[in-house]
Amino acid sequence: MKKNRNPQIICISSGKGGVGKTSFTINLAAALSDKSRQVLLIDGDLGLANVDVMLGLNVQHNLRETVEEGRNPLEILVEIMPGFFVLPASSGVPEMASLSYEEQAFLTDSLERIIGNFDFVLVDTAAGIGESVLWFNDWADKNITILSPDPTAMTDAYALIKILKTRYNKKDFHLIINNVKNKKEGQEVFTNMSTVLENFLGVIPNYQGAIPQDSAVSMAVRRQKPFLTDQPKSRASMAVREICNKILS
Amino acid sequence: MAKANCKKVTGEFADFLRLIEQEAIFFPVELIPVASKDGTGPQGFLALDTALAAGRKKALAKAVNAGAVSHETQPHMALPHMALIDCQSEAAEHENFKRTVYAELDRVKKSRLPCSLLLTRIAAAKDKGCLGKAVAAVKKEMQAEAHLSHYDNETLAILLPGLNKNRALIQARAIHEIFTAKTTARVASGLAVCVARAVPSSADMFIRMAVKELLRADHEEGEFFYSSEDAVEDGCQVSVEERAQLFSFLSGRGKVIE
Repeated sequence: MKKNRNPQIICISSGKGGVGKTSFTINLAAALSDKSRQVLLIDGDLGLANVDVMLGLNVQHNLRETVEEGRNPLEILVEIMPGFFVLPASSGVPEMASLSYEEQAFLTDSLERIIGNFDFVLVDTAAGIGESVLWFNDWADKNITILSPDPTAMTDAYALIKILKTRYNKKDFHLIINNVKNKKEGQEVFTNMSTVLENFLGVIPNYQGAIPQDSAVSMAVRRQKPFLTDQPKSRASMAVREICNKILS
Repeated sequence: MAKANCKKVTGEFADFLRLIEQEAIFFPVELIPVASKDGTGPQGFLALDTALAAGRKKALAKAVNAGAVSHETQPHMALPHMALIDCQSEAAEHENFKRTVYAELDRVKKSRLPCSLLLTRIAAAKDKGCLGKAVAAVKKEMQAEAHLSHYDNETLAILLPGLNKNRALIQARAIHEIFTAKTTARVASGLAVCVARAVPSSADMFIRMAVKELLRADHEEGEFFYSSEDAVEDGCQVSVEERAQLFSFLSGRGKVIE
């Protein structure tokens, strides 16, 4: 790994759970590393982590040790494939889900010491609008909100953006519509969200793309692999590659 | 703090402790003894902010003495138990209190979490024993991060960090009720809530907001008043109009229910 890069920190959130954040984030990381970029994926669901589960990892060390024992995050890193590294978090630890302000600051400091090794830092946050979700989003350079074409996912994504805009003064939002029937549906959902965001919050979001319904996704989850490597020619893989190219451009 | 708890220390070391203690009023610290290499006694003390993450404390301790710090084996000497200054009513002086308020406002800006200030006046609180009992009872009710100090002879100030308006109101009313129940004097309370989007420009301004509410409680019929930037704090809730428009494209379900 080369040091002293200036990484772009991208935070991926959704508001609602089960929308496909983790699956998307893992595959985006795989796509970026496939383009010869050094990528760090941080499992931002600190108390109920599952990036490691989705990648079939059985890790011994995780971010809890950084917060509680001061362990250097570099000692926790797991290399998934060339250029794709993961910082796993703990599962079933309520204390990690509600870090104090000082603990958050300490974790951010610890992470900032190592991110210079990477081109991209992706943070897969927890669902909801908990504190960790908000401060990871505040920390990031780019905020991606992922939603699906159902009213609950749309409402929760909107609520999250509203909080980030109102309380954190975030202005740039990027939307990804997951699990769509076709490109047209993705575009429709985006247009509708965009209209409401502009009317009520004065936010004009960027469309990053849509990911179609694809059995390759659930199959890859069961095999604990990124669908990008498990079924590289699937529709979902193609869509993630398109989004990856957009991010790189 | 009871004087019986005070430890008499003299000389330069006492001055040093006194200095730390004065600072610790604003930023509570714990002293960790740094062991000498031959283990015969402490070489010195490492003062750490009590609010620091455990990981950071360990990293700092390690950096200071490469493992010679007896962080885990020796009990922490929390500064309040080494009190040297007069702390009769367990409260900091007014000027110190202002610096604490300033630090909390700074924290609101960084953490984006609200902070409330409760001023409670117990009229003619001459019975110090009674007041002490009330303070002890209130301390049990307070959240760990809350900060209690004397504002003036009759008024106590309690900073309630991290609570939104509703939770701060519940906590403040509970505290007010305890003072009312434990003392015979008239109790009046004023609460000011500060949110991240509208942080007062100075500690004085925030204190004035609470004083204004306290004066209202003193002079008007009620005993408890509060002020808050309601519109700002509650401004994140998704409104019915927003929901209606969000769903409007789905299947015409976007009607506002009155």
